[in-house]
Amino acid sequence: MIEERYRSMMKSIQPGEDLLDQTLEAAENPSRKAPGKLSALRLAVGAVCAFVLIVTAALRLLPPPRDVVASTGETAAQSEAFLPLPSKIPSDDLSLSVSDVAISNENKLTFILTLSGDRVDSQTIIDYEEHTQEMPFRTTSVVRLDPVEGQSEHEQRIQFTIELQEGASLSNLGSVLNMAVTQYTSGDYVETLEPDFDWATFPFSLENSDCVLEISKNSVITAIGFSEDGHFTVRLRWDDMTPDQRYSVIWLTRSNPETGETEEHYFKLGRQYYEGPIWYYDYTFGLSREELEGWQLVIHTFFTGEIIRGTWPFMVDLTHLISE
Amino acid sequence: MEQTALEQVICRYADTVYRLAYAHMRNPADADDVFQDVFLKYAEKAPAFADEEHRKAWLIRVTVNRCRSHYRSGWWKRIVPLENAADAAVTPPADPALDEALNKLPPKYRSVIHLHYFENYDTGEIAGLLGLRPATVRSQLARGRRLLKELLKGEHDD
Repeated sequence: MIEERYRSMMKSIQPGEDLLDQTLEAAENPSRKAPGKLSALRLAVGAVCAFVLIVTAALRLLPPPRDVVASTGETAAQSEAFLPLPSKIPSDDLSLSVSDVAISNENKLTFILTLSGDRVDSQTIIDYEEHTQEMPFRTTSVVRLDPVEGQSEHEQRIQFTIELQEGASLSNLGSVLNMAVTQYTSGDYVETLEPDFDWATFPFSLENSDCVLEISKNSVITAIGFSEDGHFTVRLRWDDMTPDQRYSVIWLTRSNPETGETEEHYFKLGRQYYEGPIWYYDYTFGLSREELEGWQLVIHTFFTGEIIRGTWPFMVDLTHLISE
Repeated sequence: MEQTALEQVICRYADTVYRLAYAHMRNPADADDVFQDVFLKYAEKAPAFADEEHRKAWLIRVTVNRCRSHYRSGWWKRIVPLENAADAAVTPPADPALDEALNKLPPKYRSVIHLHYFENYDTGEIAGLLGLRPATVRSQLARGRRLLKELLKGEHDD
């Protein structure tokens, strides 16, 4: 059993006696900074022996540590106060929420994390846990956003950008999105929190999904047209996809060729469609024909990347597609 | 804080703190640093606790926080592991295959696995210690165990 092997191995891991001595000495004499990296190589045996002698002498000569604490400005009363266990701030004191989730056409996921609560102010520093190590994701930027008009002074907003790389899977993405946030409110009082956000509300399921992100084209798109109420719709053939791939999200970018203005649109409605033995899925966007005319469109899906590009009405060979 | 009291606390919890730091950092030098940071913080703050469980929980929490801070430090981010040098300087692990697998395990899983496997905390207790939701701990524990199994696949019939 791995568990037993783990226990057995960890039992052999113990701090060296010199480390205990060094720690005691440093605790007693804070002005002497504890040694840094590679402690095993830092001190020669002779130095350790001398060090032990110094500790012994210091124990006899120096005033008790309470005075040392007082000399740093902390009063005895404060040092005796009951120190609360560093733990999660009660949810009624602090909350985290996520908004403005978007995936760019460069496979970059962005979202805004908002921290709010009575104890939050402009001095609050928010750090985050990098949960993307050894995963096909890379956090490319974390930007504290300037307050907007009407924003509470007890609120801070941070925009995260995460680059999704080839080989990323939705299950791993879930790990990233469950990132913890560490808040340093006062000195070293550290809190770890998680965004209070239900990622399942984002239009793809993170549960039971393990689809592989393939930045490549394929032919799962079978139709482009308009829904009965006149909204732009893309039809994908589900039977060509694995069940996990069906949790893909589809979006399009619309660019004005004259002004260069670009917008991103996500599908508003997804509907299953059964025709014979084949299942299709229609993704309908909130755009009418008039809103598309003359615009350059790029349609993407999360797992295939860019699937079609052109100016509407598409001047490309769409004979394999079922137009309206 | 009385020196003797600090000594007692260090002696009592040295193994707990060091093993957790080692489990997370996966090398003795960083574990040493975290160990010192934790007990220096303890000496500086002179905290009072309701009971020993409270004290232990505080030490565990601060240890994990220090490990995380360590990863975020500019120094740690810039280092390039010198595996050969490390092999030469460090005593070979008792279970090389497991040691190698643990090295490959993402850091976020290591503390959870250690607290569960070695300290025998259940997921609810770990959630309380680390300030995570129990569901997150369960998920991390499951993924960590699954990953460990995959990493050890073929090596042993675990």
